Amino acid sequence: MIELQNFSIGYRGNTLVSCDTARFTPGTLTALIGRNGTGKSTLLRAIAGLSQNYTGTIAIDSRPLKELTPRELARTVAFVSTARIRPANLLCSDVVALGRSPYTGWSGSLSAADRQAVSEALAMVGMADYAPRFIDTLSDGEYQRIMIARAIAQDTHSVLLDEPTSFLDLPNRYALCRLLAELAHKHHKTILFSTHELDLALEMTDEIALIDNRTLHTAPSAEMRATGYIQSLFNL
Amino acid sequence: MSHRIPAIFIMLGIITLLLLVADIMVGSVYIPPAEIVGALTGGECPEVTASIVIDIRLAKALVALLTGAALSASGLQMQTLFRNPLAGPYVLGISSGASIGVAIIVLAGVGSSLGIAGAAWIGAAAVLLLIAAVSARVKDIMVILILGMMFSSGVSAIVQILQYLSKEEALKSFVVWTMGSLGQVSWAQMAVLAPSVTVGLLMAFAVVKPLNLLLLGQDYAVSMGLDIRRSRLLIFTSTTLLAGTVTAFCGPIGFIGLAIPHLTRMMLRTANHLVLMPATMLTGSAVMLVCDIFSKLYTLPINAITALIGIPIVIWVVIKSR
Repeated sequence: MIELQNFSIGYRGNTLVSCDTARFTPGTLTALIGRNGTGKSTLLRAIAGLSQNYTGTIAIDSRPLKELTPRELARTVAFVSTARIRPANLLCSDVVALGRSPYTGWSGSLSAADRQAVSEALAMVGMADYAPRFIDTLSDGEYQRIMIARAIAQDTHSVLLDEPTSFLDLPNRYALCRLLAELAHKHHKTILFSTHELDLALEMTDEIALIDNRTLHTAPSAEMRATGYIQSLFNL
Repeated sequence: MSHRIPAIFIMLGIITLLLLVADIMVGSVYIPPAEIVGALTGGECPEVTASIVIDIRLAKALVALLTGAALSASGLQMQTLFRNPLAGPYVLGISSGASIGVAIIVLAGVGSSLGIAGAAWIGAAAVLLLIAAVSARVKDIMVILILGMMFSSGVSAIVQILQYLSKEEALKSFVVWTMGSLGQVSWAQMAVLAPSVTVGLLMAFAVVKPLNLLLLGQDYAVSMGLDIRRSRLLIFTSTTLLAGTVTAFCGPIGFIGLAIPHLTRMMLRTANHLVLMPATMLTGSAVMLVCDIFSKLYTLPINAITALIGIPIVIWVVIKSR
């Protein structure tokens, strides 16, 4: 459960996004949409705990983010960013294993349970065969799935993804959204992802969070489809 | 995969040990291995030889061993932290800090009671304080990298002015310091060098997990639980202790810290710092011993040798990894 209250974020006194209250509940797949530059990434980074330059509160699982230690934060929310960093000599299983960091000791060595979590996460995204492959040999779609497996291995109730569908072809976009829906519905996670794909968002998600006129609105996707509000926003 | 890594460690250990003995053998007088073993274990050995081995050569060989491990471990930390393959122990300006310390003593003649090593160490530590103060405020790691480089160039300019204004003999002893030397370290100085480097190496082990997280960049690292301020401070302190101490006693030694982490990654084909860190230290020690042996055989400055050995390694690694 992610809750925003009296929230406002911006740069140098200019408000970029604000909202009185917004709530993202477990078992729900939510798409965050808005025009370029409306602050989708900024909002996601704040909820991921990567930026604290906001007023109001963000609480996840009823605990305000600003009160969490780095380790507690990593056990609370996982984040998949737009960065595509592919270090050399790093195995896919190593990348997913990094997701276990909030649970491992000083050296980061994995316990049997950690190993189990890593292979389950890889299987969940359909990448079990890729465990012994080097991360710098993967395509964009494969890389994105490994990063999602890493977020699953982190074992948090909430997962945030910044434009996970960009650079993917159409079948892969749908496949990725189905994966996210499964995570939300079957594994009861709170999933929030930003995207520019309106059709995809309206069709595949349960809720839409829309940034318009510097305000965050949330509504069920069916309602958004019916009102035609989004279409008018993007002049379609 | 799982059998290859222990095998490489055993091989590296044996090679380093053999090189350590070879390093003690080589010098103005050749000492056969049997006498070295005798001297070190208290067995049969002429008294003069025993004194050469223990009082002089062993200290120098251990300095080479520690220097190689120290520079390589700090280079690995800098390369991962800045995600830059060209980063090395000196990107933060540690050698510039040390060199201005030495320049002030040797060229300007101020505070000579500290000795060259003491002055260099203070200079390097001053750089650490500056970097730590900046990194507490600046989030972007690339900004810190740029500030480090700019600071380093600025200090070099001041050193140049001091060089320009100083007398010829003072200038010569400064230039000799910049060429590097492993031979100037006495057992008394070793009492400072060894503990400082050991603490630095232990701190390098303490940051293997943060370094692994930083492979995916700072945002991912923080989202997976990295305490960025604490980790940065540990990494900077470890690097200063390692590179700063070595530079203080032996002068700025180039290319080892840059080349060895690349060589080790290539040998082990892993990015896991838990394996990479000790392997890098061992490889660094071995290569530094080789450099020291060459430098003693041909009586050349160590810095020239490390460059001539380090540069081909970097070129080879860069070409082979494309």
